[in-house]
This record gives sequence, structure tokens and C-alpha cells, in this order.
Amino acid sequence: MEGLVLGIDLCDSYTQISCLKNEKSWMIPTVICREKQAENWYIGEEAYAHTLIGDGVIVDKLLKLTSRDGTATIGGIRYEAVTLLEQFLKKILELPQKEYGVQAISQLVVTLQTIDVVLMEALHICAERLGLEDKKLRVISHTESFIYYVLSQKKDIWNNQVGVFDLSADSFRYYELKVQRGMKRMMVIAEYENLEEGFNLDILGSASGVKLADKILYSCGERLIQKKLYSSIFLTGKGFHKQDWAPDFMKMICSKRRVYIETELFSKGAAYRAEDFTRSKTAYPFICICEGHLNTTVSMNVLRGGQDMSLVMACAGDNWFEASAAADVIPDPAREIEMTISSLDSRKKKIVKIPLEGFPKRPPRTTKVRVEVSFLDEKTMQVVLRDQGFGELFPATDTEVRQEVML
Amino acid sequence: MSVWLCRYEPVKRPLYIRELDLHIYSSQELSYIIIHNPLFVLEGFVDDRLFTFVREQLDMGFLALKMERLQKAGESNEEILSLFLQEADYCTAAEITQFRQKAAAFKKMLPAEYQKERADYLFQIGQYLNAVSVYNKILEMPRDTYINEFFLGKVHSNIGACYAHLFQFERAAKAYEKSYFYSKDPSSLKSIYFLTAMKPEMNISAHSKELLVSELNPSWNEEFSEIREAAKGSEELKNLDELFEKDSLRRQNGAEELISDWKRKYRSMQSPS
Repeated sequence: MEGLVLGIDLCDSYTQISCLKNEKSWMIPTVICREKQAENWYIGEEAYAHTLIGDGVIVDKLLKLTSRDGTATIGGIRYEAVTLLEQFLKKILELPQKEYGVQAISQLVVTLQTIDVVLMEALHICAERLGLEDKKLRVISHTESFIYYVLSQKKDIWNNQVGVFDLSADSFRYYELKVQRGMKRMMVIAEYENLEEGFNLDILGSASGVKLADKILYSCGERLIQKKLYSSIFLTGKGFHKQDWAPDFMKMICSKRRVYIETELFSKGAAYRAEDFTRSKTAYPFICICEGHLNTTVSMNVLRGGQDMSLVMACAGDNWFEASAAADVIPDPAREIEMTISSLDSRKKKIVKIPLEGFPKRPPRTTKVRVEVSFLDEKTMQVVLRDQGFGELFPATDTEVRQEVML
Repeated sequence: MSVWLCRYEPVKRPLYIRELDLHIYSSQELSYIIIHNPLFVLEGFVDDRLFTFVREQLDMGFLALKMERLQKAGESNEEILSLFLQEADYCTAAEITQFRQKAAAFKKMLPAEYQKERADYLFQIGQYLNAVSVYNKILEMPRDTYINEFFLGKVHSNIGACYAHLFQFERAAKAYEKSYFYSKDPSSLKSIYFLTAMKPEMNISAHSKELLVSELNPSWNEEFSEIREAAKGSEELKNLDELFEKDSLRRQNGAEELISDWKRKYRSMQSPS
């Protein structure tokens, strides 16, 4: 029997889980509660209920707690944040598992508002503890799930630009996507802007608050949309579960534009991404340039078969946290390693020369260098050059050069 | 600046070249050995062991097959190795041409001249006993205008040097005596003098003794003292002194390692090809 293909939008306030099977989604508050007297765990509304009854202790802001490697004490037991996150994920995964009577998970993609390495590693620890193979869990950004959601729709939805207003309890964001054609491979570029005008959704409880909120949205919308040509605009987040509180904003935004309300945009996007991971060949043959992805290509000019060729170490569109490469090369003279950083959008090229400092002096072409490339974030590449020597003729030393390169 | 990209070669069983006391772990190292040691690789190197290494360890099955076919078709080792150099992608075209030119030059040499080149090369890489064997083959060749007294003097002198490196001083002295017989070069006598200075209890022939008395050059003693003094400051001796300053455990371990290294090197000097 085939396993479940799931997308989870994990936020500090709410978590959504989507399953492509019957396109079903669940949304629950990101809180976990443990009974004071027993090792029974509850999440979401049940967690609130047990806390209100007084037989449980609730923990919220799970993501922040995990990011700072925090702990919480419940019933005299000190729990690490990663353990609480594990319990939360276990419980939330049970929702589709019980619904469809399927335990196995073929692929799970978790989308985060912003990529956080600590959180990402914690999620992989959770997956391992839950018996999920490492490769069956992928973590992507909201921007990437937005891309996959939009490109899973009909083409006329994303012919030109696509915008998203995401109004949630803890943030207000605007995302924009455009498709560039005419290159070797289609390129999809998506960016986001954190809007400082964000407000607490509690103000929607009063008439004056509603009016103010509508005014804020209207002014943001006007500034961002201007005269741009949109194929579609999406509204997502808890703030848009109802739209009648923002009549002016809705009137302005819907004027000569297609506007869709999609409250599960990010979790569904994650589920589409998960589905694509299960395929042997991607259904989205484009270069994805967004948060979490490189927007530059890193290469080295090398000789192969007597011909000059470009050896690509990392490609624009690769996930920076997964992109890593290594190659053994013999530079002549063994003075430095030269790397080319090409920007896809501006087509600019930057040459980075890393000197082989401290490497032993040897005859020409008898120094083999292992070049390892990895990334600390989208904009920072780490290059490690290790002396491999030349067999027993010129034994390797433990000399290595580490350099961080700003892309 | 050029940067050569290295093939991925998961070599588990390196090719051991006994004569060079060297394990080869990559096609680049093998190419390096071929172009820097043509006299060694052109005789007795191209064999099944090499083909197996190329096929199984370097994962170049098709190339190994082509090399084997060339050998079966009677092509020269030079052709087979040139093919490897081209495919291994380490040498430049100029280097491969140079290798071919060297091989061609060796072919043009007189047999005695070529064998002496080969023996001299074996001496250079520390294969002293193998070098003696090749020098002795030269001595069996009929005399001609090339194999004259001067040439024979050189060959005997080189045999002497080989034995001296193997610490076989009596044999070395005999070879130098023959060298002096042919060439009348006083440097051969000087070598005998040095040998006796290093090992005074050594037996040398009465004729050599007479020659040392009659032809003794006073500067030899001074030269020998200078050499001995210079040797005292050598890196090896310094390392040895440092070893003896270490604590007993480290000293013992270091000594074991050093002696085992000396033994390995000495065996390698004497290993028959």
C-alpha cells in the first residue's frame, strides 16, 4: 500500500497539514499539553481543553523554543524542545493517518515561514525518532511552497506575476512570483517582504479596529500592487478566513484582477512539493530562485580530456542547505584555486581566488587538492581546500584552507 | 594557470612497484611514473599486473582491453604506454611526445650504451643489485669501438659504487681495482682508499695495497675527513640524535620504526627484478 504524501505548514501560532489524497487539510493551534499525572499528550484544541480543566500543562511557541534550544518542565520532568516538537509532530501526523487508515509516510515536506538551520536540524531529529527515513523529510520555506502551489495550478494563473498577501496572527507578508522564460530552463523567481504595518488580529474585534485594519491593508495593497500586471493574487493566513472586515481593500484588489482566497496555500504547496519528491522525474522543470535556494552558480574552470570545461559545484536554484560538492583537482602551478560565481539574473561573473596557503612546495602537478563546497546560508559559501598529496610519491599533509565566500 | 580534474578512482588494491618501493593509487601517479622513468617502464613493466590494475582498480576496462590487444598484436611497450598516457588525461601532448622521443632515442642507442643508461638509472633509483646485473651483462658483450678501455673502466667503477652502497666493501674494492686497471683513473684508487678508511680491517688485494702506497695522494685523507665531518651534520644523524634524547618508550618505538625502514630499503636495494 502506498504511503501518505503530506505537507505541513509549521508556524508558532497555527499548524496546517495537507494531504493530497482527497485534498484534505487540518488546521490546529501549535500548542502541546501533557497531563500532569500521566504521560498523555494532547495538541491543538484538546490541549487547551485539558489546560482549562486543570489536569494538563500547556506549552506554546514551540518553534521559538526549539530555535533557541530551550526546555519546558511538565509534571517535574524537564523536556527538551525537540522532544516536545516530536510529540507535536507525532500527534499531527496521526490526523491523516487515522483519516485514511494508512500509517506509512512516503514523503513529508515541512514548510517554515523562514528557514532556520537549528529548527531544520531539530525537525530531522524528530523525523528520525518517529521512524521516518531522513530522505523522506524535506524542509522548505513558505516562498518555495508558494511557488509549488502556484505552479500546480492552471497556466493562466501564473502567466504573469502572482502576488500573495499572508496575514497571520504574528506577521503580515507579501510574496511575489514571476516566471522568466526564454532561457535554457524556465526560471521562477519569488521574493517576500515583511510588512511593518502588520497588526494583531485581535483588533478585528472592535469596529474602529476593523476600520483601521482595512485602511492599513488598503494602503499596503496600493503601494505593492501599483500598476503591475498580475495573473492572479492570493489571500492567505488566518486574517483572511473572513474578508468582509476589509471592504475597501477587497474592492481595490479585486478590480480587474483575479483574486483567490486560499487559507491552506503553504501546506498545500508543501504537499505538492512532497508529491514531486516521490517522482523519478520532476513535474516542475524550472530553476527555483527563492529563499532557501541559491541564486548563483559556482563553478571551476578545469581541464578534462585536454579541453577547458566548467565544472559546476553548485547550481542556481539548488537548495543551499543540501547543495554540497567535492572534487579532486591538480592545479598547475599549485598557488591558488579559482572559482567563478555567476549570477543568473544579472549574468554577472565574479572570480574568487583562494590561495593554497601553507601547502607544501612540490614539483609541478604533484599536488592534488580536494575542493569541498558547502553553504552556510544563501549568500555564504564555505570552501575547504585539503592537501591530498600525490600518493606515496609526495604524501598528503593535513594542510587545509577554509574560506567563507560571500556570494 | 591550469587545473586538471581528477577522475574518481576508488583504488582498493594499489599497484606495487617493487623496484621503486612505491604503491600507485591513481592514474595520475602512474602517468607521472611513466613519463619520469622511461628507462624503467620500457622493459618488464607492461604486463598482466598492469592491465589488471588499469581494468579493476582504475576502472578503465576499455583502455585495459585496448592495451592488451596492442600487446598481443606485437606493438611496442612505448605504444602501449603512450595510449595509457593519452587516456589517463594527466600529461600534456608535449609530454607524451617527449616520452615517445626519449623511447625512440633509446632505440637508436648501441646495445651497450642503452644497457649502461639502464644500469645507471637503476643505480639512481637505488636498485643496486639489479644495476650490477645489467653492468655485468655489458661486460659480457664483445669489445668494439664503443666498448673500449675507458668505457669498461666506467662500468667497473659503477659496479664498485653499487657494492659500496650495499656495504659490500671487499667486492667494491675489487671492482674499483678493475676500473683502475682499464682506465688508470686515480679516482678509482681514491675510492679504494675511502673504503679502507671506513673499514680498516677490510681485506684488499696485495696489488691494491701496492697501488695505494705508490699512488697515494695526501689530499685524499683531508678530503675523507671533510666528508666525515659533513656527514656528522646530516639530517639523518640529527634525527638519530633527537631520537636518543627521547624517553625510553618513544626511543624504542622510534628505533624499531627506523630499523624496519632501513631493512625495507636495504631489501629493496637487493631485490631482483
